[in-house]
Amino acid sequence: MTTTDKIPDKSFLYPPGGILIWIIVIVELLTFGIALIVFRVNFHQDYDTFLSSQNMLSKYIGLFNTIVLITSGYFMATALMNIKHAKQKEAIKWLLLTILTGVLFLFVKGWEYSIKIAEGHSFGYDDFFDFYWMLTLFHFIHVLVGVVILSVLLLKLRQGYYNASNYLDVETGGVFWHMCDLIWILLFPVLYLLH
Amino acid sequence: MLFNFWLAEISPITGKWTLTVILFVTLIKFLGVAFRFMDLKNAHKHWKIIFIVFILLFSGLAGLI
Repeated sequence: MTTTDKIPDKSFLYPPGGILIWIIVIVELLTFGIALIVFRVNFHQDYDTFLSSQNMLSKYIGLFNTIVLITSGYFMATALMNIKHAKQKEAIKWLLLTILTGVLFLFVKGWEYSIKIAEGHSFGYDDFFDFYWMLTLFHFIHVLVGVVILSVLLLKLRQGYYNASNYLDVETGGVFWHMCDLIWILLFPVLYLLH
Repeated sequence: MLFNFWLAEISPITGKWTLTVILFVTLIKFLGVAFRFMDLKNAHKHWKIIFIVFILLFSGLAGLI
């Protein structure tokens, strides 16, 4: 199905963006959610090690990236709204801004990784950093994939492939992008703040 | 003495409140992004229930552990 105008509203099988992406979102949230709960259990079993390692993370970098991703989510929602209202040029502008903020997130996260590696806190340093690298790198890959998906959508949008009656792909890409946002909203407080 | 009192009595309470505030803000941000940006508000009520139950369960477990 390429058009969204005939999709019945509020149907369980046809959520915005399609049911497959929503199943992916639920599975991803469960995966990260379970991993973070396991992290919390480990944190309390080896409290001193985890606390001292957690204090080595920059909360400001984490907070900055949270703001960047939430802003990016807003840009994505605005881009989609503009497509639905047949404002192609506006939609292109907002989608480009979404991609740029996504790239900014990746850049800042990459910078944080380089600091951690330079400090010797790479994978295998201790259990805390094993969790840190596994969870954040897994999320990093998701954002990277999201940027690629959005770039393809931008290219097709510029070619006039999407319009007010054909935007399901953009909606699906948007749901994937918001999923990256939701996962980071869980990762940031648990990895950086809670102890 | 005052410092000891703070350390023994107030600090753990403050810590507990900090945890509650962090998880509450997480919950609000999560639901805000899901409903406003991800269009959960336009999805079937079962999707809404799944998301709300997930974040309540996650916040509860993360707070309790």
